[in-house]
Order: sequence, then C-alpha cells, then structure tokens
Amino acid sequence: MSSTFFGLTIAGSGLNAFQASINTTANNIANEETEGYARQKVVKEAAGALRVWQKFGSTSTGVVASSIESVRDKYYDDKYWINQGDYGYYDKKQYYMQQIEDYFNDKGGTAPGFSTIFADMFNSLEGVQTAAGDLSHRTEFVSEAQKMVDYFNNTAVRLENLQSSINDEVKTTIDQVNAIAQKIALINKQINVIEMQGGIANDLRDSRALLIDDLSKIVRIETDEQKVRNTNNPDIYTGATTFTVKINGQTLVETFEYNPLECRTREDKYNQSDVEGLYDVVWKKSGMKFNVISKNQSGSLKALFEMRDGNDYGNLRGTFFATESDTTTVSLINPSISKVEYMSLPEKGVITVNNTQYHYDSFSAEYRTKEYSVNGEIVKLPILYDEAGNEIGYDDEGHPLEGGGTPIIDKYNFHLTTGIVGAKLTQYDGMTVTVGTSISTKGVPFYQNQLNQFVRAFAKAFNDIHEQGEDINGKQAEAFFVAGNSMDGTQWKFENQRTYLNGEYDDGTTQSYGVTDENGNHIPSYKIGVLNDPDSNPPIMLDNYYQLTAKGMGINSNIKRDVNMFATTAKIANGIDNNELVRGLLSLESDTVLFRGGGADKFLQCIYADVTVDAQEADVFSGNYENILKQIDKQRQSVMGVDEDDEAMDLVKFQNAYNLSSKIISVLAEMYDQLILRTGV
Amino acid sequence: MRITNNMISDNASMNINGNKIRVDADNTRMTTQKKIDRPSEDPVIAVRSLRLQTSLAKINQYYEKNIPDANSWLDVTETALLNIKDIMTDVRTLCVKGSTDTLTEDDRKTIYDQLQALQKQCFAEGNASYAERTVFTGFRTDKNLAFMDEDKNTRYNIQEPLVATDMVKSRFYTNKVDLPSNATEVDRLNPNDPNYVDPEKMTIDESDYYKLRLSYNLENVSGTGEDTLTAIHFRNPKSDGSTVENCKIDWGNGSATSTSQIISYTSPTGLDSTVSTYQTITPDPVEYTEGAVNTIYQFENESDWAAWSKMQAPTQDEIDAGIKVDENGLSKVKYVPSDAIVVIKETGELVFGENVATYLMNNKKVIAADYTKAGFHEGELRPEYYFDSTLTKNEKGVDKDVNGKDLAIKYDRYTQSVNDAGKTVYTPMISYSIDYTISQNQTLGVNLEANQCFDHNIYQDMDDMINSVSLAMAAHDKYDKIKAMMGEEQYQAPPYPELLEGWLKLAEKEMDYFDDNMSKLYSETLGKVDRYLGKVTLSITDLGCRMDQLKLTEKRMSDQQEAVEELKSENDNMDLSEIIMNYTSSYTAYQSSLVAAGKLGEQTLLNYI
Repeated sequence: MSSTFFGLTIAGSGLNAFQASINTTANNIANEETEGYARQKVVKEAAGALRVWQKFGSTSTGVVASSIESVRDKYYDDKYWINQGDYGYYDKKQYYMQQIEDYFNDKGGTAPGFSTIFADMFNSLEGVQTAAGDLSHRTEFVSEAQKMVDYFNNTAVRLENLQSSINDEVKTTIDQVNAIAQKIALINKQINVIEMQGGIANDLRDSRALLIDDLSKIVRIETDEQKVRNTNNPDIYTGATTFTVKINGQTLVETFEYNPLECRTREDKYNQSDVEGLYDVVWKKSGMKFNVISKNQSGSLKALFEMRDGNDYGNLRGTFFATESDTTTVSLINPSISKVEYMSLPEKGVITVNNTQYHYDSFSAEYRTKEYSVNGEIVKLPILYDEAGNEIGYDDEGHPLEGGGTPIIDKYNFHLTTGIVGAKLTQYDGMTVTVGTSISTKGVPFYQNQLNQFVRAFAKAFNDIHEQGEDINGKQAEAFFVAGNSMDGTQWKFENQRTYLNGEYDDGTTQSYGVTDENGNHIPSYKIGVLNDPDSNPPIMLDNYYQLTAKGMGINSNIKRDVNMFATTAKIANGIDNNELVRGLLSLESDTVLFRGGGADKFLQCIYADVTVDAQEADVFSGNYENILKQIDKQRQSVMGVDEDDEAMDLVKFQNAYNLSSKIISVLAEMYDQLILRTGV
Repeated sequence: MRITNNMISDNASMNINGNKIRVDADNTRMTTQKKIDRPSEDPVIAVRSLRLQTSLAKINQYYEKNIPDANSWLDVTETALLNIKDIMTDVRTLCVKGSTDTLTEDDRKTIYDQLQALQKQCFAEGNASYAERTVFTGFRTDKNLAFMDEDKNTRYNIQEPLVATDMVKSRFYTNKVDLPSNATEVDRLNPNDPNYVDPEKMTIDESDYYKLRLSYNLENVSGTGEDTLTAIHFRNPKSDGSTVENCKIDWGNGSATSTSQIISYTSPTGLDSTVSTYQTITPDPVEYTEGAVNTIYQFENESDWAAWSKMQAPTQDEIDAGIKVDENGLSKVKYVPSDAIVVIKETGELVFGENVATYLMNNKKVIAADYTKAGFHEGELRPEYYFDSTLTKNEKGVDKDVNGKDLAIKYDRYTQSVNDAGKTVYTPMISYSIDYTISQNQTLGVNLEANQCFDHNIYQDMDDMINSVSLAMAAHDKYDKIKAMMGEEQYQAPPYPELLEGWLKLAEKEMDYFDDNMSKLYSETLGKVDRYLGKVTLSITDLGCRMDQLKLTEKRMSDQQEAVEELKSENDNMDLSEIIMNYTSSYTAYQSSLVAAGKLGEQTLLNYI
C-alpha cells in the first residue's frame, strides 16, 4: 500500500514543475525581443510509476520537469545560413555596383558625365573648325579637352579609392571572421562544460547560432555537431559535443580550436591600375591561400574580392617560351593581348606558370617583325597591318606605305627577380602562362582597363592626326594628349612612335619606329617596354602608349601654355583658318571605330551596358534573396519565436495547474486533519 | 503555421518600409520629373537619353552657334560686296562721263580726284572683317587682302598667268610739247633762232600695238631697283581650266641670254636729259621652241622706249604696215619689232610685235610672267590671293631669321603635276573654303575668296584711266597757258604772235590726241567695268543662294531641335499627372499600412484574463 502522504509528494511535484514552467514563461516573456532567442519550454514527464502492491497495481508518482529545451529547428537554421551567404554576396555587390554606377552616371547639366563632356568637347572643336585661327575658340577647345581629361583622371582616382576602400573592408571582414571563430570556439567549450554536467546550455547555443548567422553572411559555411560518446561504451553519451564550422571546405572552428585567417599584402600588382597594398587572404597557420572566389562560394567576402579584383579575363595570358641561355628572362608567346592599347599588365608583377608564381621587375613587348630594305640596308621593322589585317609595307626610306597601320605584339619578355632553373625551363616550355589573375567578374580593374583602353585608343587616334600638322608658327605639332610620367613629373609624348606621314623629323631621320641614341641618331626598334635596358638590341622604346592611363592622362603642357601650338592644318602657310585636320579630328567623335567596335561617343553606352547588367543583377538578386531570407526567417520564427498570447495562455494554464496542485495539498491537509484528529479519537 | 506577435509586427514594419520605398521613389520622380534616377533602373531609357542628349547638343551647336555665326559672316561679306558694287558703279559712271568729249576743266579734275579716291577705296573694302577675321582672304583671315598703307619693304616673286586673247590694241604716243616759259623759249620755233627746234620733233604721234598688262607695275616703289621681269612661260590652255607648259624664256636664272645696254637721250629742247639702261633678251633656241619671239626688250619706262625707238630702223614690211619713219629710215614713233616683246616696267605693260601678237592670239596661248616686285602702294591687292607667289622679304624688309633660316613663304594658287608627255600641268587650286557644319553631314562654305568676286585688273585699269585723264589735263593746261601767253603784252610784237600760233597748234594737236585717247580709253574701260560688275553681281547672287540655303537649314534645325527635345522629354520625363497619381496611391498605401500597424498589439490575450 502506498504511503498515506504520497499524494503530498505528487502535488509537490506538480507545484515544482509548474513553478519551473511559470519561470520559463517568465523567461520567454522577458526575452521576447531578444535577438536570436529561441523560446524555451519545460519538458514534463509523468514520473515513474510505483508498485504499491495494491489491486490496482502501480500508482503514478506525479510529474517530473525533465529539461528545459529551446524550440528550434536545425533544418531552418541550415537553410537560413545558406541563404544568408547568397544574400550577403548580392547585397555587398549591389552596394559597390551602385557606387560604380554613380561614378559613370551622366545626369547632363547638373552632374555631367562622359557623354555630356565629350559632346561639349566636340562642339567646341566645331567652333575651332569655323575659326581655326581664333584664339578664343582654341582656348575653349583646350579647356573642354582638359575637362575630358579631368573626367578620366577623376574617374580613375575614384575607382582607385573605391578599390582601396574595398580592400580596407576585406581587412575588417577578415578580422570579423576571426573574432567570430574565436567566440564560437569559446562558446563550444562553455557549452560542453555545462552540458557534460547534464542539461542543455540553451542560451549559449542561441548565442552560437546568432554568431553563425553573422558568419554565414560573410562566407558560405557548413556546420557539424556530433555527440561525444564514451569510447569504451559507445551507447553511453557523455553529454559532450564536437562542433565544426567549415568555410570553403576548410575548417575554421574545430570545437575548442579555431583556425585564424590573415590578410597578407601583395608584393606586386595584378593589374596595371591596381592600387598598392591589396590583400590576399591566407590561413595564418599553414600560410596556404584562402580561395575566396570559387564557384560554390558566396557571402559578402566573395563580393568584395570580385569587386576589388574582377578583370573579366582581361589579363595577359599566353604560352611559355624560354631560351636556356638566359634563365632570368622568360618570354610569353601567342599573347592574348596583342595591341598596346589593350595592355593591362602591371610594370612589376607576377606570372604564374604550372601553379608556381614568379615575380618580374620589368617587361618589354616585341612587335612581329620582318626584314625590310631601308636606304639600302636590311633592317628589322615591325610589320604593319591595316584594318582588314593585310600587311602594309615600307618604302625605300622606311616610311610606312598607305598612311601606315598598326603593329602587332607577338611576344612579351619578362625579367624575373629569381631565375628559373634549367630543368624547369624545359618543363615549362609550351605551358600556359598567366600574368596576374583571371577573374570572370567585372570589378574595379575591369573598369580601369576599359578607361585605359579608351583613352589610349582615343589619344592615339587624336595624336596621329594632330602630329601631321603644323602649329600656328609653322612648327611640327607634338602629341596633344600625353601621359604623365609619375617618376619625374615630365610627360611622355610618344615621339618615338610617330607614324610617319608628313615628311621628315627635325633631325632628318627616316624611321617611323625607333628610338634616338645619345648622338641624336634614329635607331629602328620594334621593342617597347617599361625598363630602359641598356643592353637590349634593338633598344627598348620607353615612350609608348602603355604609359598612358586614364589616371595619368594629360594635355601636352606646351599646348596648354600656348594654345597656338594646337595644330589644325598640315600647311599653315595656306592661312591660319586652314582646318583640314580639324575635319579629321571631328570624325573621331563617332565616325571612326575606336572602342569595342563603335565610335568614341559610344563609350558610355558600352560602360552603361556593363554596369547596368551587373547592377541590375545585384539589385534584383539582393531583393530576391532578401525576400527568401525573410520567408525562411518567418518559418524559423514561427518555430522559435515567442508569442505573447501563447505565453499569456501558458501563464493562465500554469497558474491554474499550480493553483490546483496547491488546492490538492490543502485538500490533503483537510483529509489528514480528518483522518488524524477526528477519525482515530 | 504558428504566427507570433513579432512576426506580425515584423511583417507590418516590412510592409510599411516597402510602401516607404515606393513613396520615396515617387517623390524623387515628382521632384525631378524624370522617369529614372540611375541607369540600372532602365538601361534602355538611359542609353536612349544619352543618344538624344548628344544629338540635342549637336543640333544646338548647329542651330545656336554655327548657323548664326555663318549668317553674320555672310552678312558682312554681302555688305562688303554691295559696297564694292557701288564703287564699281561709280567707276562706271565716270567711264560714261569720260567717254563723252565735252568735258570741262572741272569735269576732268573731278574725274581725276574721284578715280584716285575710288582706286584706294576699292580694295580697302576687300579688307572687310567679321569678328576681326578678314572675309575675302580664304584661310588667311588674320591677313589683309590689300595693303593698308604704302609698304616699301615687302618683296614677292610672282608668277602671273596672262591670257593672249585678252590682248587689246593700245595707243602709244611719241613726242610732246615742251611748254615755253619765256620769250627766248618761244623763239625756238623761229628757224633763225640758234636753238631752233623742228616742230616735227614736238608733234605728237601715235602708234598702236597689242598689249597685256601685269597686275603690278614694276615701278621701283621700294627704291632698291629690284623690280624686274625674269621669265616668260608659254602655256597651252585646256578646257578644264588647267594649262600645260610648253616652254619658257627664262633669263632670271641665265638660261636665256640677257644683255644690258645704256641709253642716253635729251629732249628736243635740250632741257631734259636722261641716262638709263635697258635689257635685251635673246631666247635660247634649245629651251625656247615656240617661235615668233626672237627678242625681248625690257625698259624702265616709256620715255626710254621712245628714245630707243628713234634709233631703230623698222623693216619695209613694218613701214608698210604703218610705222612712220624719218628720212634716215629711223622710227618716228614708239616701235616694237614684229618678232619682239617690249616690256615697260613702270607701267607693267608687255607690248607685243605684230607677229608675236598674231601668233599668241591665234594659238590662244597663256603667257605666264615671272617677276619680282618690291614695295606696294596703299590699296594694292596682296599677290598671294591671286597668283603663285613667294614672299621673300616681309614688311620689315627681313628675309632671314636670327638663326639665318630663310623666312620665305611660298603661296600656291595652282597645283603642279606632270603629264604623260613630261610637261608640267598647272591646275587652279580648289579654293580655301571655310566650311561651317550647319547640320549633320551638311557643310556650307561661308567665305568667298577675293579672286572669285573681284578682278585684279580693276586697279590697273583705274591706273590707266587716271593716267589718261592726267595727260589730257596736262595737254589742256599747256594749251590754255599758250593761249594766255598770246594775250600777254610782251608777245604782241612780231614774230611772237606767229610763233605762239605755232606753239598753240602743236599744243592743240597734243590736246586733241589726248582727249581722243581719253574718250576711247574710257569707253573701252566701260566694257571691262561692266564685266567686273558682272563678276561682283554674280558673287552677290551666289551669296544670296548660300543665305537661302542657310535659312532653309536653319528652319530645318529649328524643327529638329523641337522634335529631339520632345523625344527627349518623352523619353526622360514623367507625365506630371501620372506622377501625381502614382504618388497619391503610394502615399495612401503608406498611410493605410501605418493605420493597420497602429492597430496591432493594442490588445492581447492579457487584456481578457
């Protein structure tokens, strides 16, 4: 027979359990607005029955509040984290695409962009056509041209600033990842400490999930939690768990340990117009590179890298070619870039062959050549091609025929900082060489390249016409658009590259491609480069259009000082209003194919096409992923969220239950009163 | 699905935010009235807007700058041409007046004064400028068309083509009356006087030859004596306006033989005596293949020629043809041998002997004369606008810069090429047209060049007219003075009345010749002036056509401007009523979402327990 007072114990268990329930409800209500808080509930079980040796068998012994559990669904958490990554990626991308879009946006009079400035420049050139000798028209044109130059300078600098601020953000983002990883490792430890003593560390788990929410926005993550079982007896659960967080397939957190990432400054630029000091991300312990931009990655970090480094495969690639006699100079043939205007490689940089990186400190490019007879001598000169790709020859004095053409680069030479050993040279021969990195997306380097390509093509076309002319004083005209020489503040005027159309130079030389030696003699050359290698034969022309970038573009300082040095005609003796060259220059506005198969005035249209495709994509997808995120969050909230009405109902329920348990005690008390005081006496 | 309060309020705030985004977008549209704020909102609109903006900027440049500018330029040109037409008309009036022979002393004086004024003014109009740019000078808008002041330093080498068929027969006079000033001089007509002068020697006589005239007199304005003719080219004209050079007589570089001779002479009265030189040029038979010309004589002035003529004996054929000779068989009049050309530097005249003239005219030759001319009068045209020329000394008289570099500037009006036969072909250059772009792919040459509107010869023609009127005036003056002497007391005693009668007869003859010459010349010139006037009028008509074309284009541009503006506005701008409607609906949605959210959470279960 069961104890007479057994009822008291049962009622007591009810009081206990409902006390806990009320407390949990209180906790739920208190944390209603706490971020990441999952509602908790008291798991109540009927306590084990007791054999009481009665006819009715056993008797139940009340209730046991076995645990307090968070109500969460791991499935929704995973979905949420995956989606967080995509959302983070597009959200970041949208933010930066908007900035790039803003830089290029042309709002006409209020905020003039390329199209407005370009049209203004050509309108003022129309003015020059009507009165070529008029100082005020010339001045107006030069100042409008300066505005265009300023536009390119400013846009390039803004893009640079953008690149460097993205780079800063990379650093803070990596710091954030490390901080989160560190916290997760710490929390794992605390959870284990608590849970090994029994029970569930709900609040810590909530904090950990919240941290992972944040981390998943930065990089795509995978998490894995395993229960630790007693090795001797696998059926016994020790209460401990292991918790792994992987990013990009590599372990970031391994229960109590974490694997920090590190930002390491690049030694060399990958693209010509990159800013100094860009970071690569490596694992601090192993020094291995952390590949952010892989196909199955997402998150804001990927977006940052794509925006910072994206060059749309605009870097130089080709086939390795070496001569065994020289291990420090290696060459690249079959180049992907064969025109000076398109050259995007930095002055110093890295080449990658067979997954090994080599640094080069200078390079030169060689035009495809052929031997021609000039003034009775056989000299190697660049082969010129017309637009249809037909070869244009030279006359007996080395002047290009038919008004000249474009030479084609078919070889690059790199001077390496450390040589390659002979065996490797043979091994590498014929392998693919990459300069910098190829990244499929259109980020800052892509837009910098577009600007550079445009200004080079435009400046070259403009200069080629302008240099045929004479200024107002009858002197041979110089280049109009020049490149700033950042080393000594002078200007590159491309004098060695003048296409020969208009008789001889002042020095009476007759070669169109060449350099001048210390005695002022012209030497034919087909090599252009960035380093003056005194041993090179033929000498390397430094003064070439590679030096011209959107950032460094300028107007010839002589012309700026004296606008009369702007040439409008090849024969000033016919009168100062002679303007046949202006007509040629005017045709550069839209009639000449200059940029991406269209006229110069279509530049912004092309850029708009690129920017808007990416910006629209980022815009639409960030919107979509945000919606999906909200949906998932809703579902997640639907499970784990605290609801006032629920809690109020619980409150009523638990209060009633508690009250009833109390009532039972008082009823039992009356019963004992009856039994003890009245019945026996 | 379980819904919590937070989900409801999150949803509500999300909805409110969504509505706010719409209100914000509509509000931006309402304030800017533009359909889009950034290109990615609608790339099609953005790109189209760029294109329309560029077209509009172009049209504005044409419509608001180039066309008005072209218009003003044409206006200035027209005004100048009308002024020149007025001057020509005045010259024409003077021609008419001068060709009638009933002129008084005052008439002649007026004609003389007016001609001098008109001659200076004529080409000064050619210096007309628009915004400090000379309109008739092609691309050389910073230079004047005509010399503004007398310029003694500037020196040119000029090659001037002359057309043989332009030759006119001109009258050349020999002998003149030296007006006596006292009784002794009057007595010279007295056969008993020791200083007797044969009246024959003072009787004016005339001979006629074909002549062409250079556009400039080689009259030594500079005083350096550099003016000279150096070569004569013989060319055949072709129907396309070009000429093919056949051969030349070039003594400037020594390929023809040239000798200088001294000529000295005194006037019949012995009062004037001069020593001068002239050149005799014999063509090199290898280089010169044309025939007809066997000698060229170059004289400083007509007096030298006259003095030389008197020492020449014309052939019998020439005498038969009308050259008067004296008893010694020497020419009494100015003489050009049939196979010779006489060059008079002072007047820039090329006088052709009978055979030469006939040959050149029959074969319709073009004769190009190379000459050096230093120093120019006020109002004379600069040669570079008409002829191939080289400026060899500038207005400061400098021909080399400080570094010793030659400053010579070569000006081309003809392009040279070599034909299949190895002969040089001279083709007039396309004019130096200042083209204004007045609409897409349409240009308008706004300038007329001087050689298109006025003839260089007018200056020399006026020179001739001035000369002839001044000769007539001088002759009348002599006559009047002798007449006056006849009334003087000292000449009343014989033999003076008789002698003076003799003088008067001589003077009268001279007067008659010069009057005749003047009226003939003026009526000849009348024809020329009509031609010049025709050329000016044609230019004015041409200009009128251009102005009409410009007006049409202006109208078209104005229409296009409107059309493109409308297209642009249609593309870029929102319809205001549409914006307001959108805005109102977004705003209403926003307001109602606020109201709805406000109702949330007012009551929970707690309120009921």
